[in-house]
Amino acid sequence: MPGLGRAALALALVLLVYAMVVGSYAAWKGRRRLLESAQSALIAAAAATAVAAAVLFLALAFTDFSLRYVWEQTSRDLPLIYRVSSLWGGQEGSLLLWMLVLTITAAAAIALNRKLVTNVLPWATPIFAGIAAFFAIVLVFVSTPFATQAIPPDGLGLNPSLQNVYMAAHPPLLYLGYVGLTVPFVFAMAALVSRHVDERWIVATRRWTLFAWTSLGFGILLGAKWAYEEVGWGGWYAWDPVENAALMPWLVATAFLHSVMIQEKKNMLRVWNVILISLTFSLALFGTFLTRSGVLNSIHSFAESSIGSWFLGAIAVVTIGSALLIISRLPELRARAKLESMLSREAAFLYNNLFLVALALTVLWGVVWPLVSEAVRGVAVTVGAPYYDFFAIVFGLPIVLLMGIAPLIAWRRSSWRSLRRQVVAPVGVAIVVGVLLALGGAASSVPALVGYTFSAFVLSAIILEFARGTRARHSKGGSWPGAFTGLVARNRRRYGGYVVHASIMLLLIGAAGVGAFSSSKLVQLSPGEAVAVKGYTLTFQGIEQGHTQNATEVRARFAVSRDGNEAGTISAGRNRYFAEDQTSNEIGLRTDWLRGEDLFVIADRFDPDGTVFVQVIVNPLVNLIWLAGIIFVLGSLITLWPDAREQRRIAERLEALAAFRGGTGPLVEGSVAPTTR
Amino acid sequence: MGIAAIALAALLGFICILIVAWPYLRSHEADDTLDQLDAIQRHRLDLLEARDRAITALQELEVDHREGKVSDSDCRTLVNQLRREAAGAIAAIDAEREEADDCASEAGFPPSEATESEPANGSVAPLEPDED
Repeated sequence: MPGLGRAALALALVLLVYAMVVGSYAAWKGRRRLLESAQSALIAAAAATAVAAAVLFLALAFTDFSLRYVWEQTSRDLPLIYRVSSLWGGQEGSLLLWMLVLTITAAAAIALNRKLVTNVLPWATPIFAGIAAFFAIVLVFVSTPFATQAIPPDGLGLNPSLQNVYMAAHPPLLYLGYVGLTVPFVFAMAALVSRHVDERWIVATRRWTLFAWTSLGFGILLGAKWAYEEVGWGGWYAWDPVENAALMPWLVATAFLHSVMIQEKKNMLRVWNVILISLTFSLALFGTFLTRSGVLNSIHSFAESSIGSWFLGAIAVVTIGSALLIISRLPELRARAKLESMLSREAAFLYNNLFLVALALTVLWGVVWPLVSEAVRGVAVTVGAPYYDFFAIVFGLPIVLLMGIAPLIAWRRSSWRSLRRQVVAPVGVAIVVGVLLALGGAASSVPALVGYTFSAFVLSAIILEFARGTRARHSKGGSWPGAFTGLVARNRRRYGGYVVHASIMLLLIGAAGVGAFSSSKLVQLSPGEAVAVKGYTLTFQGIEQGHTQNATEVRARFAVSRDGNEAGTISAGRNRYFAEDQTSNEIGLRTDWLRGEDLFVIADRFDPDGTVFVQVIVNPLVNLIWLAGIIFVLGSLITLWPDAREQRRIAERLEALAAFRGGTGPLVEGSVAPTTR
Repeated sequence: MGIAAIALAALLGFICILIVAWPYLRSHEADDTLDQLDAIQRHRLDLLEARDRAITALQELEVDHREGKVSDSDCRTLVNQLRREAAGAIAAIDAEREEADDCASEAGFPPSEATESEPANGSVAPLEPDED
């Protein structure tokens, strides 16, 4: 029913324009029922978008090739999971998913914050509606997923590299991240418009920000896992512009998550925080623009892209609009408190902010420079991994160091003497680890050795923090496990944050292991011949052929032994997809969880004489990267877990405010008893 | 577009119109104004925020001192400073309350009620410890 999909999208657009126009008027004039009607329109728009998404979902599931989008993205033989995930495989479906998640998120964010931010909420409604209306306009007038055609016998199929379970989960997580970051942006802008720049918008949106940041971070890692297994070059992150597109907003959102703590605690950095969240949202839009406009292929394909100029316009409106709004509200935003000492936790957070933003902007420059060069000089240039690696080390190592130091410094003011006392144990552990690793041969890569030493410092500082906190609680009575769980339960934000820090350290250790110590060998083998790499011996047994639902498989089969002991078999080869008329590499992977290393086999050339070209890679510690992802989510969940005390504190503050007037009536402008001020 | 699609689209449109009109259909209250804070209330809210912030900072300072992150002398200086901040905010809140009470009694309103977190005698409210 393409007609129903088109009608639902058009209806959603009308509702969003209504919510934007009527919501603005209601917020401006203080009209309650009109605002409720605008909020209802936002909910109705979410429902209409859900109907449109359901129509496309069903069309994909049942391969209705009368829809051009379904024909372009699926084929009759494509397994159901990939037919469904084709919803976000193409441009139009991706935009529809963006809009669906955005409208649902907007409706939920408004419904859940009705009491907490009553003064900010009126302006949040039209701003949410405005952003969603942009997507609706693009979907209705520029890039509709419901374009129809004469029904062809079969579809073109899905790009083979996208037929991977990680790719089925990676894009929705990124969209959850991008869209989730809309919530703090919208509330920040609404706070500025309404001139209510107190901490309530931050408290109201902190969990949304954390959720979005977690989704984006985990999505990036799933994308890395996909690249590792599907792209098949043995690495996991290649500083590809599409990967960077998601990394940039994540880095700035990380800075934002840290700096809002300073605003909550000291009422400082209010200008910085609204700048950070505006930058984060602009980068989220820029990420979508990069991946969807075709600009990465060539500046010329951008010019031919139907949505490129629309997104560029939206980014300009968001960037310029938020900048003008921030400038106009500078008097309200100006901090009333000052940084008391350069040696304090808030100062450490500030340094960490500067390094994170510097890293994000450096990555942005690496992504943008080839585009600028091609547009201005007509010369396409490539910014390679060495550029990114250099700045990742220059800005990344201080960030890592600060992750270890900041928890050991007190809020407001500390002294060098106190700091020295705090860092003695972690520094001692780091030196011992560094020396032992150097003696063990890790000195062959200085960046890796420095990374491991810094990681040891941070991890020991985190363990020390847990130990000190648990001991302090235990001294008040109770068991050690009770003291530990009580410590984490009562300070979820702090200790959940430490768990996230620990996951970043694991990722660093894994990344350094793969980057510095992986071994590789490329050989041509005949049946019976063997290749040995770093303790593994692979003996080529022969070629096997098989079929899946939508492809033929060719596999080279190898017997594996490790240090002379038999360790099973491994197969690697190629798939030939019928409908897509494309081939894909299918790597062989054998994971040794105990050693944390992978045996990674690529066999992509089969000669008629029965020989195979095979590349064997041993990636040490790579599995710590994936383990880091699980611990990252765990730490984020601890931090995300609802804390009633925080909301109760704000509710009590509002109660106290209401009590000023000797009654419990609504906080209505003009109803306050007159004062002499 | 088939008949079924037209009918479903019309039904969806009708439901959406109903949702949008619902605030007008369900409520006939005369009061149609939004709950908003004026400048005076915003100032009072700022004072309440400043008071809570100072009290939370005192609690954090105690934890940091216990863990050896703050020296005794720094702790003494900071405690005095934070107590001054909290006392200043509480005194300003009390002054606001008295002023509001005077105006309320002139206008015939009942006097202000001290809430649990904001005792009228100016003492520090017992917030639950939060070591973040």
